Order: sequence, then C-alpha cells, then structure tokens
Amino acid sequence: MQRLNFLILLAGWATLSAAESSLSFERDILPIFTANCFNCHGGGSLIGLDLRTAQSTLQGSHQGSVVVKGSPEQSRLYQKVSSRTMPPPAFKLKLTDTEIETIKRWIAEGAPHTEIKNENLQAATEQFDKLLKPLLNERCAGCHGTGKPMAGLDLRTLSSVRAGSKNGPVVVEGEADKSPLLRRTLNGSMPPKGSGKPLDQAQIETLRQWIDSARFGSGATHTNLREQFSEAEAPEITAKDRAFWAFQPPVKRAVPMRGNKELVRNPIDAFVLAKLEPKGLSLSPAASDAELLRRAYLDLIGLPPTPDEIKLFTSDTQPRAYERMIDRLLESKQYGIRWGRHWLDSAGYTDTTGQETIFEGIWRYRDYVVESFNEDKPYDRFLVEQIAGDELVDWRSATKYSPEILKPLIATGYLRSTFDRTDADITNLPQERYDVLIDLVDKVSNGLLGLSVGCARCHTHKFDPIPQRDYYRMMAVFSSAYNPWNWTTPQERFLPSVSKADREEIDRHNAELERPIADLKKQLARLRAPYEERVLDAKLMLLPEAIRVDTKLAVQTPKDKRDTVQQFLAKKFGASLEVKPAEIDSALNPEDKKVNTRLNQEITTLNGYKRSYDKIQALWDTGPPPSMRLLQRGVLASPGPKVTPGFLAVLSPPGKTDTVRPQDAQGETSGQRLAFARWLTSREHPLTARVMVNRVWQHHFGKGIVQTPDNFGRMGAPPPHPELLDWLAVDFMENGWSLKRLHRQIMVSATYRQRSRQTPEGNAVDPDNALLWRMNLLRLESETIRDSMLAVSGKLDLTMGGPAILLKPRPDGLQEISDENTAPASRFRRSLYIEARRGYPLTFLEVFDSPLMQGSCNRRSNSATPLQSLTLLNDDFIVNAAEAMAERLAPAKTPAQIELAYELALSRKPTAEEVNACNRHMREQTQVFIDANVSPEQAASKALASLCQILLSTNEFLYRN
Amino acid sequence: MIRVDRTVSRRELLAMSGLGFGAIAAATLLQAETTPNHTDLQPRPGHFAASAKAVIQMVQNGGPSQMDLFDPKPELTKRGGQPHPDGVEIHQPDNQNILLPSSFEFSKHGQSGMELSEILPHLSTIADDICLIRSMHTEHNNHPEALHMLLTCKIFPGRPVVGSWITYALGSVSQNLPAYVVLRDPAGYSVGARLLWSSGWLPALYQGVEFSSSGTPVHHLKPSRPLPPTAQRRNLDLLNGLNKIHSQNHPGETELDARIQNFELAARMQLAAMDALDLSKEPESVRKLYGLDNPITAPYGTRCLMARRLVEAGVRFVQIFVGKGQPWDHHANLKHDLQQLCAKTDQPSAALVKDLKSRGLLDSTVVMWAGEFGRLPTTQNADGRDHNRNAFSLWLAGGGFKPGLVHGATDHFGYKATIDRVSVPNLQATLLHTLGLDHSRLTYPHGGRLETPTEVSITGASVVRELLKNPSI
Repeated sequence: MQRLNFLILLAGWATLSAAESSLSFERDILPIFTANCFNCHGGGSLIGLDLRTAQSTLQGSHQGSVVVKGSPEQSRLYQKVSSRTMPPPAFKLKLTDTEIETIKRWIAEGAPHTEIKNENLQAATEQFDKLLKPLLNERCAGCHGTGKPMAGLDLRTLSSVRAGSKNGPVVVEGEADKSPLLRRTLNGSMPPKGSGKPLDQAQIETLRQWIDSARFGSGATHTNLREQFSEAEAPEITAKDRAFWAFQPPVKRAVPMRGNKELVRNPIDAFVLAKLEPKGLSLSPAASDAELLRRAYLDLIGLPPTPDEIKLFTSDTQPRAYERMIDRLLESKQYGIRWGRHWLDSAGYTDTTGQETIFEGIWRYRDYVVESFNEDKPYDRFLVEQIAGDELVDWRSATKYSPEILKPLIATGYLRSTFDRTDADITNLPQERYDVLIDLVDKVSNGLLGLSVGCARCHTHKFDPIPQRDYYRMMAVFSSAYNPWNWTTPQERFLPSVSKADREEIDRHNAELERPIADLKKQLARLRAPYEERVLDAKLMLLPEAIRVDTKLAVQTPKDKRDTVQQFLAKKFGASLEVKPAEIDSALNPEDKKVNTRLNQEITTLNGYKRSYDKIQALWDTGPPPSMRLLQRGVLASPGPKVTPGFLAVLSPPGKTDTVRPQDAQGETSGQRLAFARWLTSREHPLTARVMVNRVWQHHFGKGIVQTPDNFGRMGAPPPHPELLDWLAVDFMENGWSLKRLHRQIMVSATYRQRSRQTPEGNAVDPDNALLWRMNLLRLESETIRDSMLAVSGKLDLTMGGPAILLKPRPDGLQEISDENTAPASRFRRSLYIEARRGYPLTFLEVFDSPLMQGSCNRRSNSATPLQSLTLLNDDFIVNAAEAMAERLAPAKTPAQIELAYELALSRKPTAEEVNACNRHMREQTQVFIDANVSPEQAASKALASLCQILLSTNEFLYRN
Repeated sequence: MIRVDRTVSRRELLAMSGLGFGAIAAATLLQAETTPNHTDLQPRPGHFAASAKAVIQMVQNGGPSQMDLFDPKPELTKRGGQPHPDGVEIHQPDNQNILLPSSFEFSKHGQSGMELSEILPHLSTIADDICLIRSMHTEHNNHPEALHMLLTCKIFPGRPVVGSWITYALGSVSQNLPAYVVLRDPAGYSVGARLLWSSGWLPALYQGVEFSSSGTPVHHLKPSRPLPPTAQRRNLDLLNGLNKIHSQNHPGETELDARIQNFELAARMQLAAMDALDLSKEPESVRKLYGLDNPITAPYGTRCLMARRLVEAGVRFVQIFVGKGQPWDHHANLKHDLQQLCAKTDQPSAALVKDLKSRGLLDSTVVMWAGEFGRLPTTQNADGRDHNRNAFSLWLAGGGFKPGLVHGATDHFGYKATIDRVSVPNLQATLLHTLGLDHSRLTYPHGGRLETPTEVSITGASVVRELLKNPSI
C-alpha cells in the first residue's frame, strides 16, 4: 500500500513537472529545425514537408503525417531523427541527444504550439493585393473569376491563386519559370487570342518578380492535393483506341497458299512471298553453303566456324545437313553467351551498381541469363522470374536454398539493373529515388511491351492511348520493392546465398574454428615478438642515440594514445622503422623457422575448414506498398491524385486493370509484381510475344519486322509483314514460348537462306528491302568482332561464368583489361565477361558501338568511323591477335598459309586473284622489313602477321554476309 | 453523343494545359514524315542562315564563383558577416549561413562599361567583344549532374552532348580531321570524364574525339609497335584491294564504301592531326599572346591555341577543359585559389578571342566560356563557397552573339538569378540558333520518339533573342 501511494505520488509529480516545463514548438523545436532541417524542409521541400511552422509540420508530407500526437514511436519525424537517418549524415548536421530527446518529448506532449500569425503569408497577401490584383482583375478574372471559373482557376485572391486549377498549382513558390501562371503568358497562350493585346514586358516582369519572391509560409504545398483525376490525366480508353493493330491480341491467320510453292520451305516463306510476288519480286537464290555456315555461326554463337567445323559440315552429304548444323549450334554453350548479350542490352545490365562502386554478386544475374538461354527456358517463365522471382518462392522461411529458390531470386537482377545514384548520401534524395523508378518503367515498357510510355510521365501520351494515370499505376507496381519513402540503397540489395538457418549453422561452425586459430596466432605472435624487437632495435641504431628510446616507445604506442612528441616521432621515423613480416621471417633461427612454418600451416588448414557463403543481388518487397501519387508534369513537388498499382488499360480487357495478388504468391510480399508478370505473359497480351519474336527476328535480319523494337505504337514503324509477325507470335506461344524452336523456324526458312547481294530489280521496287527479297548485310557487334579475332588467333578462352574480368584505365584514358585478373588467360575470354560499366567500357568495344548503358538498349547503332580504322590499323589487341594467328599458320608453307588464313578468318578458300594479291604482298612486305634491317626469317613472319591483320580488318571479316 | 476526334482533343487539351510549346513541337513532328538520319560527316546546311560556323566551348569545370569574377554585389560587401536572411540551399557539410563578401575589386571596362573583377585583367581588355550572362541557372547542385545538364540539357548521363548534336546536324568542313575534337588537361579528366563528349544514342561518329595536347594527338594514330614507313602503306593498299574485290560482290552497299574511305581518312588524319596541333609553326608573337612563354599560362594556352588551329583547319566543334577534376571548385581558400587559377587561364582565354578577331574568324566562331553552376554568397569552411545552382555567370563571344552586352541580373547577394533568367536549355537553343539550327526541329529517333537537343517538349526551351547581335534572324 505504501508502495502504491508512492507510485501515485510519483505519477503526480511527473505530470506536474511536465506541465511546468511544457514545450512549445516555437521556443523549443523551431530553433532545432532552423539550424538543421530548413535546407531541404523549408519552403521548397520536394516531398511537401515544410517544417517552418507547427501547422505545416503537423500537416506532414505528401506521404501523410509525420507527427502522431502523443506517440513519438509512431511518428515518422521521431523515427527519422532518432535513427539518425535525418538530417542525412552527408551534411554533418548531427542532432544532439538532448535535441532528439526534446523532439520526442514535444511529440509525447501532444505537439504543443502557439498559434502565431504567419508573417510571410501576410506579407505575400499585401504584395499580391498591391502588385498583382489590379492586373489579374483587369486581364484574367473575366474567365478565371466569379461563378464557374474556367479550368477551376480563380485568380482573384491570393488564396484562390494558391489553390491552383483543376490541373494543379499554377504558382511554384519562388520559381517563376516553373510556374504555369508565367509560362502561359510567356508563350502567348494566355490571355487567349482575341481577348486583347498580350501582356507587356513590364506586366510580365511584375508577375515574374512576384512569383520569384513569393513566400507563402505554411500550408502552401498542401492546398492542391486532390483525389480526382482530371480528364487530361485519365482519359477513357475507347474501342477505337483499342482497335490499333498492336493493341489487339495477335491472331494466327491462315498461311497464304498462293505463290511459287517450290520456293516455300516453311510458313515464313509463304508470308514473305505473298508480299513479294504482287510487286513482281521473289526470293533471292540461296547463299552458298560456306556463306550459310558462317552466317549461322556468327548469328547463333557469335564466333566463326573453325576449320574442323567447316569440314564436319561440308563432309555431311546426307539430307538435312544444314538443319543438323543449326541444331549443333543451338546445343552449344556459346549460344547462351551470344543471345544472353542481346538480352542484357535490353535489360541495361552492368556489372556495377550505384556510382560504379559496387559489383560483388551482380554477375550471377548475367550467368542466370546465359544459362536460361542455353536451357531454352520458356520465355514466359523467363519473364516471370525476372519480374517476380522473389514472389514465386518462399525464400524468407526456407531452411535450404535449393537452385529452385536461388535462381528466381537471382533473376530479379533484371529489375536491379538500373542507373542508380542513391548509394551516396548526397544523391540519395527523393528525386534520385524516383529517377530509378522512372528508368525502370522505361526499361520494362521499351524492352518488354515495345512501347515508349515515358512521355506519359509528364502528360497523357500524345500519340498512344496511355493516360498519365496508367504510367503512375505501372510505376506503383514496383513501389513495394523500390519504395521511395522507405528506400533500400544499392548497398542493401544483397541477400546471402544460403538460407538463414544455414547461415547460422555456418557462423557457428566458423566460430568454433576461430578459437583454435586464435590460439595458434597467439603462439605465433609469442614466437615472433623477440625477433621483431631485434629487427626494430637494429633499425633504431641508424637514429641518433639521444632519441632512440623515445622513438621506440613512440612507434610501439598505439596510434590514438601517442602524445604530441610521440606523434611527431612516429610520423617522422615510423615508415623507416616499420618491421615487415618478411624481415622477421629471415631473422628466425632454423628451429623457430620450422615452428613458424608449422603454425602457419595449421592456421591455413583450419581456415580451410571454414565455410563461407556469397552475396546475391536480388529484389524483394521491403514492406507494404506506399501510397503513390500521380506527379503533375512529372514534378515530384506537384503530386496529384493517389494511384493504385495497375496495368496499362489499353492492353487489358476493359475493367480488368487492377493488380490482384495471385494465389500462389509466396511469403510476405504484395504479389504486385507477380500479378504484373502474369498479365504480361498471358496468352491474351497483345504485345509480349510479338515484341520478343520481333527481337529475335531483328538479330537475324538486322532489323525487326517492326523496325522500332521499342515502339510498336502509332509513332513506331508500321510493319510490312504484320500477318507474319502475328503468326510467329501465336506459334511461339502455342509451342511453349521456346526460343530455340523459333530460331530453328527462322533459320531453316528460304527467306533466311537468301544471299545478301543487291539487285537492280529489287532496288528499283524496294530499296530498303522492307519486303525481304534478300538477306541484309550486317556489321558485327563489337563483342562478336573481338571474340572472332580471339577465336581466329587461337587464343580464345571459353571458360564460362563467374565474376567479371576487370578493366583498368591507361594514363591516356583508354580502358584496357587489368593485369590484376587472376587467371592469365582471362584476358582472352569472351567479351560478355569483361566488366560492363555504365561509364567506361573496354575501349575496343566502345569504338565498335557497344552501348553506353545509361538506360537500356534495344537496338545498337552501327557506325563506320575513322577511329575504327585507326583501331584496326594500330591497336595492340588486333596486332597481338594477328601475330598469334600468324604463329598458327607458321608450320604451313606459303601457298597453304594463305589458304588456311582465309579459312580461319573468312571461312572460305581464297580466289586465285586473292592468292596472287596476298602472295605479292608477302613478298614485298618481307623485303620492306629486310630493308629495315630485320632478319629474313623475322621479316617473313612479320609479313605474315601483317597479312593476318589485314584479313581481320577486311569488310568481309567485319560483316555478316 | 458526338465524339471528338481523340488526337485533336488531346492536342487541344495539351495546348490548354501550359504545355503549349510541346504541343506545337509535337504537331511539327507529326508533319515531319521523314527525319534526316545522317550517318556521315559530309558538310550540310542547317535550317536557316547561320551566323556561326564553328564553336569553341571552354568548359570551366568546378563552378566558377560569379560574385568574385563577373557579378559585383555591393550589398554583399556591405552586409558581409551577417546571416543570409532566408537561408540558402546548401550541398555539402561545413557551411555557415554567413554572407561572405568578395575579396576583389570590380571596375568598369570598355565602351560598354562592363564591370569585371580585378583578377580578370585580360578579359577586361575585351569587355566590348564578349556577351556576359549574369542570370544563368541550372537544375542540380552536384558536379556530374550539372555538367551533364550544361552539355545535354538533362542531369543524367546518356544523352548526346551539344557538340554531337551540332556535328550530327552540320557534318564537318574538314575531311581530314574529326568533326568534334576534345582537348583536355593532359593531367587528367574533368569530373564526368568521357561522358562529357559522348554522342549518347546518336551514332558514335558524332562523339568527341580526344586529341592529346602533348605527344601523339589521337589514340591509335600510330602503330603500337614501330613499323617501317612503307609497310603501313602496303598494308593499306592490300586491304583496299581485298575490300574492293568484296565490294564487287556486294554492289550498292554504301557502308562498305564508307569504310574503305575511312581507312584513307585515317591515313590522312595521321598527317593532318599532327599538322594541326604543331604549334611550332606559330610566330613568336602569337605564342606570346597565349602565354606559351610562361610556364603558368602555357598548358591552358596551348589548348586554346590548338583550338584556333583546329577551327582554321575546318573542325566544327572544339571542346577545351580548363583542368582535371574540378578546378573552379573553391569550397575553401577561395581568395588564393581563385587568383591562382585566373593567373593560369585569364590570359589564354582572352587571347583566343583576340586572335580569332584579328584573323577575321571571330564573326563565324562562337567562343563559349561556361562552368556548370555558380557559388553561394555564404561562407563554407571559413573562406570558401559551396555550390549554387540558382545563379551563375558565363560569357560568349563571336558567331553572332551581341558584343559588349551584360544580360540579366541576380538578387542583392548573387544567390538567385532574378531578372532575365536564362536556363541552360534556353542557352543551348540560342547557341544552336547561331549555327542556323532550330533546336525544336533538330531531331533524332530514339526510344520510340523523336528526341531534340533541348528536350524541348519538357523544358519548353526557346531562343534568347536579346543575346543576339541581330535578333531578327
């Protein structure tokens, strides 16, 4: 009873003292905010949080309130300051513990404040009434005034101006150039034509200066949050919109039956001939066997055939030798490397993330892609894994990570391959976070949907029926994994490659080994200590005797415990007195040396028993989806109505645009992405299959049936063969979304087997070869050029997978392969494995147009520049490759050398004319070298190397016929 | 119910919603049935008559301090030591909200009476030749972002820089040299490095080609291992012969022919580039003008003089970097470091304008001196200034820009551009205008839409006619 009394007393006292020292926003909180928060959360806060008054603080940000009166723990304001995520550490504006405590108490006490008049607002009102009111009343209030103001915009009072129009704010505080009120007058659209003369310069200047100096104080950013979409933001999708061919699900039409049947090898040819014959054209004759062989090799594996492979093909005289050759190539592991590269272009893959500083574990996604192509993973499954792999498996509670769990997790690397600067505090701000989402929506829509929805970020798409609302609904699908208000930085996007249970088991196992290891290390230290002392003493002898003792003490004192004199001594002599381990090693007497070796061996052995796990980069939902809003004009500071995750309406059946968590979504996840992936890979989806079939076609023919692979919309190139595209797309889906089957289908067609030579007849009717009366000549991609040179030189290392081969910059700025790579042959590995960065690719690849991965790339440019010529003439890489190739040829005699060189480099025998030219070159070039005092044998081998380099520089080598 | 045609109604909506300009541009794009899609460097005309043929862009990376160089602020001097009344947007740690007056005197120069700082004595002698903008503003406070903005009108890397757009549009007069040459500090790259002359998604043909101002001017210009002089010629002859045989089997493939010609161009470039950068051919008086006789001014002076020789040789766009890293980035020790940097660069920058003028080349060459942003009027680290995107100054000369003009103004302290504000896209639009190019009609298809150099549909960029000598063109 006594105790209870005491407690009551205590409680009463506590209440009393709180009342006595009650906090006030203005007196206690505002100074903290002023000193630490206003740089971002003053007038111009991007996320709408204005901490300048109690009122605006309580109103919160665009995301909602930040203060829950009475509950600091539930208040985001307190969460952020107490966890020290705010102010951002980068600014070095550290709140004291007392300040944080004050904020906590203030919230706990119900966030008390005194209502004071907002001086800013008062000043702004006075200014407005004096400067602007007369002008606006005279010129604008006729329409934007009484009754039903046009566009919902009333320009008569400051508060109504601040309320904006139905499209959003018209004045951005302090930013005249961003304010529609000024912009509309500047571009002459307001006042509208016919309502008198435009505003004069002085009037515009008044307007500008008022907006630039406008400071409304609290609440300004909140007046315009609305929940209704305007007509402009969310126009209805009509039947007419849906009628456009690309928005209709593909239909398999009957294969045309007319035309020259003898030319038709499969339905592709029938569709192509059906368009050619009415124009008086037909398919070109088939290319030669040698040409077809080289074409197929370069297309499917990105390497030329070896002499043995040429022999294998030419000696196969049975029917269907060509088909068998295609099958061999599709079974080759090199196929995944070639086609994985195409996919990684579209995925915008790089081996680094953030500002090129983080790379561990990212490469697993690249290997996943290669493996998926090699195992012919159905394309629909491939997409679902990349978009929602983490929702397919319950990895959070799995006790073991089987490949079935790991692979889908790694697959989400697709969504992680975006340009992202949020790894640094200074650029981990709301805009930069949104930039990641914007990049992601661009990539997914360009690469998978074949639509450029990016325009709809700022306004409803001008040409395609993509409302601005739909853009933000699509963005919201990814927001529970990329939550701009609860951000996972690039450093935090890794999962251990083993389950939680396994991790604990490994940690325990390793900890058990740590004890004996520590013991051994102690023994080792004891053994070496006297020697270390002796070596140090010997070194000290070089110093004047007077300071030896002090200096020794100084260097042996831990860094942070040294006094000023010791710091000086350590700085001056520390480096010269440093005892290196090797010096101790050599000082050991024979007996101790043995012990030393044994102890080291034992440590190594024990360390060898340790188990480890790796990092994998993955994407997962970090919590429930945040509330996402449409951004007016794409501006973060101008949020519009809330959006829920959803699909593009024009690609969905009417009324079925919401993402619904699928039944089979696993674990604590929203299921939004899985729903999106299922929608994307549904048989009814108008675009997914078409876009992929078109991509495959593009890499076989140089251009797609739709020549704009990332835009199937109204502004895209209309396809000359829509029926063929649709037939292939449906056939693709009907046959398990198999890419290998699609390759086979395309490559056995007579259309693919045509020769590439232009003809006057064809050029007269169809100079762009839109109708496919011939094959197109294609410049090889940078990787294929490099890999083919390595293959021909005999140096190519076909090792697959693993961390990237690192690059290093040369002093002159070129990027070359670093010597630090462990395996000596690694510099000869396929280009796919060379470190892919956003900024600085291997110079050789960059010169031949490998894309700078700032976003993603669905079609590479293909230039012919003098720098390429200079590279082919003078770059070390090609000079070395040519020399290695010459060494391969060396054992043969001269005429055979030329033949073999042609076979290696160009997969064919040289003509007599070519043999003559090469012979003459060899003779004359040898003489040139002899004249330059080179020995005759060396001169001959140099001449041979120069011939090899020329062959590797020919157009025939650089182009696929 | 009558249904209004969707396209029209949407366009009308756009025209009403403050995006009028974008809608107009879009309408233009709709009409443009085919866009020119060049993939060569042949010289070609722009959209209308040009006042300039070439551009020398001197990138002053780091963010030069406008209130110490170009924009005198008596109020800042008067109220030095007091707090800035509204606070300013800071970027880095160790800032104080205390006004820091300039340590330098300003005085009037030339007939125009342009006020310039005492640490720009050489620029002051050509005040009547330059067009000074005091009201620039940009979008980001971080170096790489602001540099991308300055060069591509967007803060992200990946878009083509303005030099690439210009060479894409106009090709090159010289067939022996690249159309777009970059001269950087041999000591190292600017922050942003090679992305600052990237052609982005334009063909790689239009990217800047780095010429080294010491040693061999172009990468791979010479064989990595010595080769007897005739050996390379013989190699080229055989290659040419084999390529011609190949071309006979592929008639009509222009790309193959271009590649054959490129090898010849590469061979010619080996001579022309050496020649263009050989400053020993310049008379002593010219070398002196650029300060080549003084080890302090010589490195930057060398690049300025090379730029003139390249423009003379027909190069369309030359980009000079003032130094590696970010030389103008004076977060501390502002007074001393500014003096030092001006001592290195003021004379050569002014010399380039004088030299071009005396050769009659200034009328057809735009010289542009520009950093990526300005600096704050407040104090950082006791004697430095932090980044400021809200105001900066830059100057242009020649090529149709109005000489002796001071355009725009900032607030009392130089924190924010207030009068006649010029955005980076507007400046870019104006620069393109002097080259006879309409920025809204210069397009390239990318990502399913027609891109423009100023991203006009979003930025609403327009030409700042007040900056032009002849605003009516």
